[in-house]
Amino acid sequence: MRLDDRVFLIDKSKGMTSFGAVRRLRRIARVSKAGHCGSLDPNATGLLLLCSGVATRVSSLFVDLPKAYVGRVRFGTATDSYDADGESVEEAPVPRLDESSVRQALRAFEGEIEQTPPMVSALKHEGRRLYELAREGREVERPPRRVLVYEIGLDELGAEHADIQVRCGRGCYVRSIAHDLGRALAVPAHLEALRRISIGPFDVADAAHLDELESALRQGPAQAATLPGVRSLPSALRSFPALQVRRTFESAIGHGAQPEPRFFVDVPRVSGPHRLLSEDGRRLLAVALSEGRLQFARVRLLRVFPTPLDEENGEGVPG
Amino acid sequence: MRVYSNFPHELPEKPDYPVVTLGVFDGVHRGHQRILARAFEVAAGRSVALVTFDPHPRAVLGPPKRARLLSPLPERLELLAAYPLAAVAVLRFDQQLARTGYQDFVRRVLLEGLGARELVLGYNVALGREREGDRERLAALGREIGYGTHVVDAVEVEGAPVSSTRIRHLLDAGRVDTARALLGRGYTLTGTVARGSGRGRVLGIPTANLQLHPEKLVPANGVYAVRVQVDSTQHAGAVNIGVVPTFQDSGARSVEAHLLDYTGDLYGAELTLEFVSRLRSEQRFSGAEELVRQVQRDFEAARRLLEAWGTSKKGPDNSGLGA
Repeated sequence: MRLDDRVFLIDKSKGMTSFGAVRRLRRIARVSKAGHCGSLDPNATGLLLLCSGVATRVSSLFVDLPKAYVGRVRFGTATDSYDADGESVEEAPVPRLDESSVRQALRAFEGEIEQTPPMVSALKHEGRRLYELAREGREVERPPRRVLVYEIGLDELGAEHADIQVRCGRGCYVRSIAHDLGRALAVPAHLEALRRISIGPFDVADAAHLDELESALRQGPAQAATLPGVRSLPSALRSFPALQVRRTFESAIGHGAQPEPRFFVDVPRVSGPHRLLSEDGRRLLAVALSEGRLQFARVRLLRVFPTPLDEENGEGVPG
Repeated sequence: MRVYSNFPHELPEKPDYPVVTLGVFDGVHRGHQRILARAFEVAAGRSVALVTFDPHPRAVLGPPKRARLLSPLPERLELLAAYPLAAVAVLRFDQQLARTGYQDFVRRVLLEGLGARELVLGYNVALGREREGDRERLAALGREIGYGTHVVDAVEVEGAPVSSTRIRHLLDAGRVDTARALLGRGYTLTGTVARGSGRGRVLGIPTANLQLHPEKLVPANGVYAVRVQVDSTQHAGAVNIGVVPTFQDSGARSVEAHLLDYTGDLYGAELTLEFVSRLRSEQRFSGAEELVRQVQRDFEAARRLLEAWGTSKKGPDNSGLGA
């Protein structure tokens, strides 16, 4: 037995790339297909979601979840990468910063903001990764992107640093916030440390270090599967609402037929991603996106699982 | 801020509000905030009156069912009190008003009743019988009988206009974080603590069972990290929203909050919960032990989200965790 079709909550160590973590997982869990659901900077620590087997096909659902970070902004030095790995590009003595002006500056980053991504990032410019260009010493124009920042908190303000907490949607760079915070306060700044504490319903407290996972795996996959950071796909998807498919139409869904309202026991109450369960609630058949809600909903299949997955104890149907 | 709570049956003695804006203003979200900002800009120091509809026109015109509001009237008035409005007129929406043509409504209620010279309107305004009074018609009427109109564009977030309906759908899906971006602040529930089943106390997890305004929209069932305001102090907490087990048929839902690091008696106190993040969906448990274990995990997650640096106030681990 291997650890296929799982979602892994990994507490990534500093220095490891997200893809490095994927490679290591592939090796230690002996899975053929593995991927990550949204990368985490090499010098950051904290929650990284990895998936294996059929779970890789639904990873986009996890990428869209809100994320929470804690980070330390270091004042006095700005770097080309906006974090501690880069070259210093500007240095200046740090003026006395008072808490209320820092809070006020941070508040300006809340809501839907335009953010210029760092030059050292995995985004592409004319088909090439920005960090590749940066390595060649090139800097290119990056169009600002719209990102959602739900909330930024100031946890502690020191003489030359600020500890912040950021909750944001997909595509947001905390490094850019650190850099732009410096600009707003007229002092060079970079992000010295970053830790991701949650992704949607997944919390870093449940995550395992890869070393931990590896030693559990040495005792056998069954042992590893008991770690709180190793989730079956049905369990990992459980925060998404469920739609039960009438027995007559279960096989139609299995064949990828576009669902019609009569396929379902009930109408979707909300728009967004849903799990499609068998009528008895025991098997996960597919994931689908509901556009609109109630009788106006149009449900589109996102991924069909060729072999339905067991919902343990049938607890996927909320009471 | 003067409140006329039975408008237009009760009218100001001196109709002296040259700038008037109107709408349901449910939630006083970022779109409403833009309208208010524009009204004060247009007013340039003159008095601004806001007309809010209550009950919600849909509750009067649509099929009879209980309204689900982001901000029932008392809360709405409280939110509006943060703005320098000279007056808020609560328009008692009823069948008779619904049958009034927009021309009559503007003339009698807004111009004669309040003294309006300038109307500041949302982009999707639709006043009077059959919702005929749209932005073009209201502007044309203004040119004819002499008042100015200012239409405020929608605020867009993630490519779609901010609206109360959109926020309601987000909350129905448990997406309290995106709702925050549209509201411009966290969604809150305010209520008094009632005596619950006492189930939590037996399990060693005392919870405060919140009684809410009947029209208040409660976010999707599940567990959330919340900031809890009690009197003037703030606490980290977790809230469980779910179906009351003993009333499963009535669809009644319970809102049970647990305050982290708080041991006092909360019965009868007024609490405000500010939603920060959704932690998980509702879940069935095989037994009390499993439930308590999961609840402890929820508290941990809430604590981390709300006071990210822990009680020791230390910075993030910079030493390379797990290395």
